[in-house]
Amino acid sequence: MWLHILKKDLRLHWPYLVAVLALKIASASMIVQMGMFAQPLQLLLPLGLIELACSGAAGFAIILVVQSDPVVSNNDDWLIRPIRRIDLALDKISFAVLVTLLPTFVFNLGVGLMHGLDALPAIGAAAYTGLVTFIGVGLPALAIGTITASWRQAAGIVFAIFLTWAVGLIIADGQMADLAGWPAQLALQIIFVIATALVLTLQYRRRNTATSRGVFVVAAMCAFAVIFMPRIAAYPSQRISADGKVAETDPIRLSFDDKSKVEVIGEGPQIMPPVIYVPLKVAVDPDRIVTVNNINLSIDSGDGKPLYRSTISLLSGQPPHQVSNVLGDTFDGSSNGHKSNYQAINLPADVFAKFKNTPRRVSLTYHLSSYAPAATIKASLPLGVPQKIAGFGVCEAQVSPVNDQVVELYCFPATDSSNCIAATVLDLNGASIGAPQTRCSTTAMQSGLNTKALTEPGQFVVALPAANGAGIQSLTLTTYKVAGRFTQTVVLPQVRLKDLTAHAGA
Amino acid sequence: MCHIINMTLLDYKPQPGQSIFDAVVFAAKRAFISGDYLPGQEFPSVRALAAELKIHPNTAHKIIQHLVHEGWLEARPGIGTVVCEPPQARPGEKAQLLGHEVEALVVGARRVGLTQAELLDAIIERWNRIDIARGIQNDD
Amino acid sequence: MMIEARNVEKRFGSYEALSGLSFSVAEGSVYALIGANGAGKTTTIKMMMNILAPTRGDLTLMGTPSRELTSYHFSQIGYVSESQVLPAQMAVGAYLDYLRPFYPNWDEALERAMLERFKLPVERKIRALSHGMRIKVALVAALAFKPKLLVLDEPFSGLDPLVRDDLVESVLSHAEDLTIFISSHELNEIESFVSDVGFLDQGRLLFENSIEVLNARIRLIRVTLQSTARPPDTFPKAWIDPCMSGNALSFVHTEFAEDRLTSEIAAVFGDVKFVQAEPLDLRSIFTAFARAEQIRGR
Repeated sequence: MWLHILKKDLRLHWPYLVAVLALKIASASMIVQMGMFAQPLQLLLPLGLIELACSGAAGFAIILVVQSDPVVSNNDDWLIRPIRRIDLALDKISFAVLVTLLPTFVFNLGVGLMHGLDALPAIGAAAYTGLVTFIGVGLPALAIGTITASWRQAAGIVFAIFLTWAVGLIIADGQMADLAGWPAQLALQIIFVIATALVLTLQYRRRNTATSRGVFVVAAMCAFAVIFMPRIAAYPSQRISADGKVAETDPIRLSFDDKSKVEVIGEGPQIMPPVIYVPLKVAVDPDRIVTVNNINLSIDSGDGKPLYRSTISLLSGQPPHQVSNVLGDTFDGSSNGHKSNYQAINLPADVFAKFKNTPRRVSLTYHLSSYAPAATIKASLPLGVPQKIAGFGVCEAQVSPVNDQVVELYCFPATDSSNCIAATVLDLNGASIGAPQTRCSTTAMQSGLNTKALTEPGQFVVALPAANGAGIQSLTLTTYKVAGRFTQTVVLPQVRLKDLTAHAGA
Repeated sequence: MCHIINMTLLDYKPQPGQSIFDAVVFAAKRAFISGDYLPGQEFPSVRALAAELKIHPNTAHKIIQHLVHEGWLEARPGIGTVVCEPPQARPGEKAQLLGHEVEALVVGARRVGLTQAELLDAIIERWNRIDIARGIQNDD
Repeated sequence: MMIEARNVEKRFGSYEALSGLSFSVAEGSVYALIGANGAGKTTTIKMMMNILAPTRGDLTLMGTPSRELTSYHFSQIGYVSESQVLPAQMAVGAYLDYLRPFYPNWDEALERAMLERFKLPVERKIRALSHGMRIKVALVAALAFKPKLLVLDEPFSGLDPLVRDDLVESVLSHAEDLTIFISSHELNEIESFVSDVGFLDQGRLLFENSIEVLNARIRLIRVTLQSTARPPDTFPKAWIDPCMSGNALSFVHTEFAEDRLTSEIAAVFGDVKFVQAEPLDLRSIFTAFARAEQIRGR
């Protein structure tokens, strides 16, 4: 009978389905139109808005359809009809599937195939995005629809959630958990599935609106807790989730370089949080890439009493640093050549003021991931010709629109592409020209599925100097696999923070 | 329900607190006596009677059963119920009417202060009314 | 028993809507639940239909507790209510098409006959119908599947007399093998076919009688007193709603017996000039009791 009810709902509410499909078609065609290099860039904002509107429309449609046979009602006709509650619930869930999972699956699959992915990985990734949309949009909409009596009430709840999120953002100072990371995503999905299952059961079985609303509020609070969980608490969960593989010997050695003097390269702006530059010696094994996930800073007193602890966020050159050779978040063999490297650390003004004059023990604990080469491919990637590269996806090279001395490689990443890549240009004899360019990206992967190829234009992979012949001659691309995760601690036994600032060397 | 053809000719006015069964049976008998329903004419079915008089079909059923039992109506398969010739008076019915019911009428009339002449006028007027009604029917 | 209530209680927070409510509706009867606004009639009916749950007590329909009614039971219960919300955007025909597969006993010929008799526009959306037509649609959707029980909650509210007639005729033409439970203020409309009456007052059942018993025990008594007589200060409990005008005193006797009346009158009034006993219609019975309860409440 649920199919009979679904037919009734579709006959009555087909305009909503059409609206969602129209928005989905618009966003898919925009992605395809932007192609590999996201041209024109101005489309990215409308694309984001259309995708938001699509989710909003789908959620709203589900709420309206659920409320067409309202649960929070003492007067509606269906209450006294021989309609089994399970059939009604199945009908509403099916509508939610039709409006979230199905269009997402179909259109993302289409985009993936058009981007050149192989069929099987594309189907897997598209199914995953469909499921995520169903859980992230469909399930909450079903829950909200069954606990509210009108679309106004539902809109009120959505607005309240949005307001709470905005307030939380302000209180947490813009810090949110890594929502792209799988622990946060999994936690949220589990919360949504359990909460919606409870609400639907309570409402369709017992019409117990008070309890259902309570469940919803509790679930919302749990979701907010996950979203705003501070990073320092998140990292232990990432430690637990790590491969478990520990490298026998660490492929990198970091140590305090107490002989170096800071080379000031410019005046920083006056009004700025204080920055200290810790000089480090870096030695990386050849053929290894090491990325920094997190750095924990501790300042202790002479007898080991902890005075200050924090997690450092990795800045990337903003605002411009006053010294050269500031360390980033990726190390490879090229780091070994430098005389001195500096770890830039932003400190809150009060902390700096407290410790700047007295010698303290400062230690930096690096949480690192190392990558070992997985495969080396030789590919000729002439400018403007997209090519499928095994283990990587579909790639294309272009001259950088910003700097014509640089050739950029963009790819639609396949499912088993790696986070890190090293690329070198080859001369006609097959010998490498110049040092390998390495780059590690933050392509989010969910258990072997790479969904960005379905939902976005091409990803920037690596840049090569045009002078070496990139874009004309062949390249070797070396893909890297995660080899291990580990920590290293650099200790500065007795140091005054004042001595580590940019002015110290002047 | 068509209110023009097959109109129920029962002059039935529901009285407060009165048994509906008694009131409708009386109205039916009056209709038969006055010639509003002639022998051989079709009498409304249970459903039609119930719907027209706004009474429960069970009550309508009992009424028709009673009239059939007393000989006012006859059930004809395929046609329905049909009006018969007014049945012969049963033994004792005349005595019952002349005794008990006339007494009730007289006592009531005396109680409200009617004179004998007024009561007799009323009786004669009612009797004549039925004759006139029957006369009109007979002329058709 | 088609419906049976035993000591049913319903509380909304601290407000007690119904307390100690007990009644029974026999199969094939037409049971009228009458009472003032706010007495709890709609609450009772909503509990019967398992839209609300009793706080305490037993309420069974067709032998099953109201909280355990399944779709099997609902396929045998027809329901029409003044506050029923039918799907507004569906057309009349589409709505009936939608309902039909849920009912194994749905009679399409009956549905068509009723639609024709009520002259309902099959293509028009329900939201474009007048209130009277909407109730007619609800009645078609309540009778087309030949239910065993028909529950009517103020079905005549806001309807003109012609529409009321249509509804009553329609219900009565399908009333064989049907138990009807009706709550209504239009006591004149229903009096002619009601078999049992229950009077609900402020959450309690004041009395429950068959219509014959009720008509037998209730009389309006008019007494003309001797010009010098004074009306007594207290009346027997069975006499309610007294009304005095000059020498004439009237009251409603709730336990009338023809042979006892004269002695009862003599015992209270002594010698009187004149006594008259009149039966009352259901509407007057209701107002008499309602007024008496109102006075007692004060």
